[in-house]
Parts: sequence; structure tokens; C-alpha cells
Amino acid sequence: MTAMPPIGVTLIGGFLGAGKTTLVNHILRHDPRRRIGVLVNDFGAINIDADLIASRDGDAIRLTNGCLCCGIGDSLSRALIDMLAQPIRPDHLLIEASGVAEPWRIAELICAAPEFAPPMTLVVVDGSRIQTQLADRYIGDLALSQIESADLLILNKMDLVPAQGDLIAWMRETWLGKRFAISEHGAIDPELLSADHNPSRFRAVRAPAPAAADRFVGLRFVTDVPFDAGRLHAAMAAMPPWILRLKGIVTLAGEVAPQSLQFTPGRWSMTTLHDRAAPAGSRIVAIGHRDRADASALDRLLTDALQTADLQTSR
Amino acid sequence: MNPKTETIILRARRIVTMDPANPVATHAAIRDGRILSVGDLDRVRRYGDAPVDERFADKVLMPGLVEGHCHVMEGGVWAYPYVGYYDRVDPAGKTWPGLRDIGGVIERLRAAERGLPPGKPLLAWGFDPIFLGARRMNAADLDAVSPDRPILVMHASFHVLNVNSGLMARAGIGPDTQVHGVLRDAAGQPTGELQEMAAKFMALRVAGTEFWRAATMPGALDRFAASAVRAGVTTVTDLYNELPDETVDAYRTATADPAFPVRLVPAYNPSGLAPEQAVQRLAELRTHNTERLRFGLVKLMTDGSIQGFTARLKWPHYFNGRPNGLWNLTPDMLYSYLSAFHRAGFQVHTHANGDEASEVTLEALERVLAEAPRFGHRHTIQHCQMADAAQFRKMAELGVCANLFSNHIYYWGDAHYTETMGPDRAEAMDAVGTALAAGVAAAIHSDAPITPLAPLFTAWCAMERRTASGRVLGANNRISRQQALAAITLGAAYTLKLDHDIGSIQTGKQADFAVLEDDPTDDSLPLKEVRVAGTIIGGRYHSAPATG
Ligand SMILES: [Zn+2]
Repeated sequence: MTAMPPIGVTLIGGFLGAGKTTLVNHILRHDPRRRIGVLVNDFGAINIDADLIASRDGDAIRLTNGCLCCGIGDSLSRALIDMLAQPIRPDHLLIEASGVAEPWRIAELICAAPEFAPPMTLVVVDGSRIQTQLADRYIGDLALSQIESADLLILNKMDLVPAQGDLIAWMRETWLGKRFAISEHGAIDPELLSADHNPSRFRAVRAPAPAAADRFVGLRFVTDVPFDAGRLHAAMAAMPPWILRLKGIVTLAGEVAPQSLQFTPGRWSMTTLHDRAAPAGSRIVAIGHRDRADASALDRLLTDALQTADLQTSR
Repeated sequence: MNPKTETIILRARRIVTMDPANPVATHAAIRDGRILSVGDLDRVRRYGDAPVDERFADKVLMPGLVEGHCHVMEGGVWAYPYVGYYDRVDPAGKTWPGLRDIGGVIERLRAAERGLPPGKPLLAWGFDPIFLGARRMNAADLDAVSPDRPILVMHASFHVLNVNSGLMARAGIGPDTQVHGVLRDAAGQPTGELQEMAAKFMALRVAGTEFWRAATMPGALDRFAASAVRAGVTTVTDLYNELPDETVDAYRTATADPAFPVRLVPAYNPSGLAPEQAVQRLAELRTHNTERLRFGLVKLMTDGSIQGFTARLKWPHYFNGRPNGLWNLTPDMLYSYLSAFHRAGFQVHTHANGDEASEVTLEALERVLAEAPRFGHRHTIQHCQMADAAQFRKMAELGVCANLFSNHIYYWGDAHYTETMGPDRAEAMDAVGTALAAGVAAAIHSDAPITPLAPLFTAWCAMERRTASGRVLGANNRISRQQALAAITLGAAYTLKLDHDIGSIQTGKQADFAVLEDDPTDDSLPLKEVRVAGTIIGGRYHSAPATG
């Protein structure tokens, strides 16, 4: 079972009505791969263009919305198990997640099967509603979690947004290092979906809900001094266990393009951001358990990774 | 009077009718499966002389009990061994004694393992780690049953699994596995306890997914019905089912047999279709209705469960600081499904465990009712465990019913007190007293197989509000014996819009009875100790298998 090349997975999240199905159809129309399977886990009738799938030897399977009381036997797990048991498997799998799904949970599940390549998570956001959704007292935390889960955030329905530029600037500022694509009717450049765009195996830790905020602490590290690549690697490997998530934009000594740094316990990555103008210096934020947090230890760890660390320690 | 129809008179030690106008009797005349007359022998004979059935002369009869929230899966789980902490009786009447330590679990699994063909995974359910002390069960424990054969033990919550080394080896779970939910010991070795979707997925790949199809396996419906008979239940629900054609056919075939001992009320899960199409599907299903099978309920799920930390809570959220739970429907989608079914004249049951979920449900109901006012909708909130007095007053205002999960007080009340909700909200949970005082039509339920199907036990829970450890959780929300008995008969029938037909013993209603050895109105006997001899449905007797 390991001789076969891994099945690529594109995971599409976002609220119902954001434009996920349109995007699925768009990908089906433009993806050059032959055999594509589609799993749809959202409410409502399946609206995937059946001809598009039939013409590629694929299947579209709609999953039922199961009872969370017994969430253990959820239909996605079952569908994936059944699919992997088939003699003929798709080359690529598109999963349209439920509007209430936190895509990182599904991404984790995919990563737990060696037959699958790490998934690329696209989250489709209705540009005309996202700010309202984020501020909503019932679904604000879910909207946030979905955005945090995205490898690529697709801002859809931008034709309905009067001040597009403001929204895009605000999103970029709020989610540093997040990759964005702007789309009007689910149309995006298929290049954006290609494998060399670093789908991550990272798990986005749920952002602390306002009520739980007092249990977590957010820390910020800002410096104009570039990091030393080797020392930063060492620092990432030595992150203390109370840190739940750390991310930021960093500048490495000798490199022009900034790096996107992402860390969750056990895993981390650094990606070059070619498409961005270099900011001055580095900005890192971390979220950790308040009761065990040791801000000065983290500060020391990161300071030791700076290019000038020798000068400081030998002072 | 039609001379062909046969009349039979049942004589009982006592008949508790639940009809306040005629509360007790000794005789009931039955004709055509319905109750003709209730009273003493003289009265019931006024319709003409008829043979007297003396089989129940030393029994107490009450209306057939109504379980307003359970699942056919109750018949599915019993295909597998039970390894829980509490005694539990299976549909055949066999008592599975509660297991008080890991050794007991191992011993029962060993016995089950001996009956299995080689290589077949051993599945078991109902394990409850809370009461077994600080030590958790691990793979080495299960390896004592068999190190090779894959073994998978589901916890009582159905949210967590324990597996053995054989299963972990086949699933590729080892020290290097970087998957969320794989628990580890101090040395970094996986313990065999798997907690999240991804970790459980790895185990299910090896153990197979048959357990989750158990409700559609042959025998499941019959076991479900047998469970009902031994609990004195004559009307059961199957409260969340997508109702594909095969299931509908199976339900129609089973209920068409007069020997099938329950009336079945499924609630449709519409999530596979857009609201308008789903309404059409349910309208179509309703054309199959008979007196034994009634389609027409729809169920929507808003959140998860409190014990699984997936229920949506209002401030101050979970007592132990866990993040708030998960939505199964966004408020927008809840509104669109609710609106479509409401406008088409259907009754909507909405699952809402946490108080934020019941709040969202009430907001959607209020909006729909303002847009399309309707009398007698009887929309019902299921579980409704954390609703406070204000939410119940709102429900009364809107004509919304509540079906409360009273068994939670016994099974998870201690955990709610110390972990999920804290003392204040744990004492106020499943507040049947508050609901009734606010004027809400209320029922109580087991959600079997989540907890055992046994309405008399559920009624005891609502009356006593005692946890497994003996703590009384909110004494002021206790209800009277009469209220508790009403909640498992007419109260539940009301939430199913069947109170005109079942739920009390009076002329014209279905001849459905719970046949009891003891008198449920005897104040000296706790309701949970009232013994059930069987049921009568449409005048036909089904004796419960002897419990042993
Ligand atoms: Zn249920």
C-alpha cells in the first residue's frame, strides 16, 4: 500500500454560502489530474457538476451529517476508510468540508493516513460577510478557527465589497504571513493549488475564546536585528512545552525575502515569502498557557537566535 | 355495535390511568385494539358482557410508557459485549453486572474473545474510566486478553477509545506517531487511549466500521423493540435518521407485523437535502404512516454533548476552562431549515444541550413564529439541559416544549459538578421543576443507547435528582411522583403530538399498557425499583423476558 504514490488532498472549508461548491467545480474544470474523487460533507443537496466528475472517472460522495453525540463514528472517517479499501483509488481527492467544520480537524485526520499526501487547506470566505461573521457572538470563534486553518484563504464575493482595498489590507495585517487569493466567482489561478505551495502539516490551535482568554497568554517579540538561520532552527527545536502556537514574519541574516515562521508543539516550518516586500525586522507572536508561561525564557531563547547573539553573550 | 368485533375485559390489581378525571380503575374493556371503557367490572360491562382476561389480576397497569428520545442504535450496541461501570440489562433480559475495576473488564473481554473467529477484531462498549480511580486502562491491560487480535473498547461517552498493542501495531501507532489525540505515558509511549477524530480514525481503519452500522444490521430492530418491552415502553422514537429507502422499508416491514411490540416514531435528519427538498421528502414519507409507524417529526442538531465538551455554552463557559464546543449547524442554517419545516406545517425537534445552543434555537423559533405565526406547532427542544428560568419562560411564551435529559443527573451529574459546569449550573441542569413551573410542556428521556432505556428510572432521576455518588443535585428542581409519571406518558406523548391517541387510559385511545408487578403510585417504593412484567400494545400482550 505504500508503493502507490500518495493521494493528493485539497480540503475546502468555509461557511455555507461562501462559495465552496463553485470553487470545487472550478478546480474540477481546471485540474489536469485524471481521477478525482469528491467528498461533500455539507448540508443540502450535492451541487457538484456531475459531468465534470464523470468525465474524469471520478466519484462524488455526499456524506451524511451525523450526530455529534456519537461523533466517534463520523461519516468522514467512514467514507475515507471505505475509499481506501477500494481497489481503484483516486489520484486526487477534493473534500468539501461542512460549513461548521474546523478544517484543521479534518487535515489532522488526513495526515493520520499514510496513503494521503498532506492536504492543502483552502478556506473560502465571503468577503461581504467576513467581518460580521468574525464579530458574531455565536460563530465568531468558528470563523476565526477556519481562517487560522487555511493554507490559502480565498476571499470570494469581493464584487459585493465596496471598500475592497481596506478589507484586503485589514486581513493581511491581521493574519500576517497568510496567503490570500482574491476571487469573484470561485475562479482562482489553478497554479495556486499546485503542490509546491507548501501545504502544511500544521495544526492551528484554536484561538482562545474571549472567555478563556484569561487562561492563555499572548506574547509578542519584535526586533530589527535579523535572525541567524541555524540558531533559529535550534530555538524552534527547543521551544518550551507551554507554548501552544507561535508564528510570525522573520528576517534572516543575508536574505532579502522575509520568512513565514509557524510553530505548533512538535512541528514547525519556515517558508520564504517571495511575493512580499521585506518588512523592517521581525515580528513574532506566541500563545501559551498562562499558568506555565515564562516570558523571559522565551525572550532569551529568541534573543539567542539573533545574529548578534554572540556579541550580547560575550559582552 | 358491530357484532363481529370482539371485546375483552382486562382485570388488574389496579389501573393507574393518568387520566385525572378518572385516575384509578380495576377493569378496562378493549375492542379493536382500543380502550372501550375503564372503571370497575359493572361499568365496563355496560357495553355488553365479555370474557375477562385474568392474566393481569395481580398486576398493576398504567399507560404504555413513551420514550420521547432514543435511537434504534439501542438495538445495535447489544451485538457487542458491554463493559460499563453500571449494571445494564440487555434486550434478552440478561443482566450485565457493572465492572468495578480493570480486572473485571479484562475478564469479560476474555470471555467474549473466546467466542470470536481468529483474526476478527473484538469490539466492546460502555467502558467508563471515571470511576476506576486514578489509573487509566492501557494497551498492556488489553494485551492480557489478546496481544494480537485487534481489540477496541469504546467508552460510555462514545468519544474515547482504548485499544491493545495488536491494534496499534496494525494501525501504525507508535512512539513516533505525531497524531493529535494519541495519549502517551511519561516515557512517550502511546498508552492505547485514543481521544480525537484523527487518532480514532487510525484505529477504525483496523477495527472496521461495522459498529457504526450496527443500527441497520439484521436483528437490531427486534432487539430495540425487546428493550422497550422490558422497560414497559410501547412507543419509541428513533430520533435522528436520514431515513434512506432501505431504512424506511425495514421500518414498514417490521411495524406491519402485529407481533412487533412497539409504535415507532422516527425523526427525520434532513441534512442531506436542501430545506425545500427535505420538506418534500418528509411529506412523502408521511404518506406511509400507520398506527404503528408515524413519520412527520424532523430533528435538527445545533451543538454536541456536554460530557464530550462539544456542547455550546454561554458565559462562563466550561468550568474547567475547556474551549467552547462545536456547532453542528450555524444559526443561519438552523433558521432556514426550521423556517421551511415550520411553514410546511411540520413539528421540529431541535437538539440543544448547552445554554448557548438553546438560546440560538429560541431566537430562531421566535423569528420564525413572528414571520409565520402558527398554533399548536409544539416545536420541541431536545436535551435542553442548561436552560434557565428565563429560557423556559420564553419557551412557554412561544409554545415550545422541552424534553429534558434527566438521566444525565445520575450518570454524569458528579462530573458536571466538578468538571464541566461547576456547582451552580450543575444544580440547575435538566430543570424539570423550573420548566413545569414556567408552564412548559415537558418530557424526560434516556437518549438510549447513551443511557439505558428505562423511563421509570428516568422518572426516578427527575424525582430524586441524585447522582451516582449519591449527591442531590438541585433539590428544588425535584418534581412530584405524579409529575414524573406524567412526563413519561402523556408528557412525552404531547411532544410527539400523540397525546390524543396514547399516554393515558381512557375511552377511544390505543389499548397500550405497561404491565407492572408493583404500584408506581406507592410512595414507599422508589420508581426505579418498580418491576416491569411486559407490555400490552393494541390489546396484545408481550411479556418481558425474565431478568437474570
Ligand atoms: Zn439522541
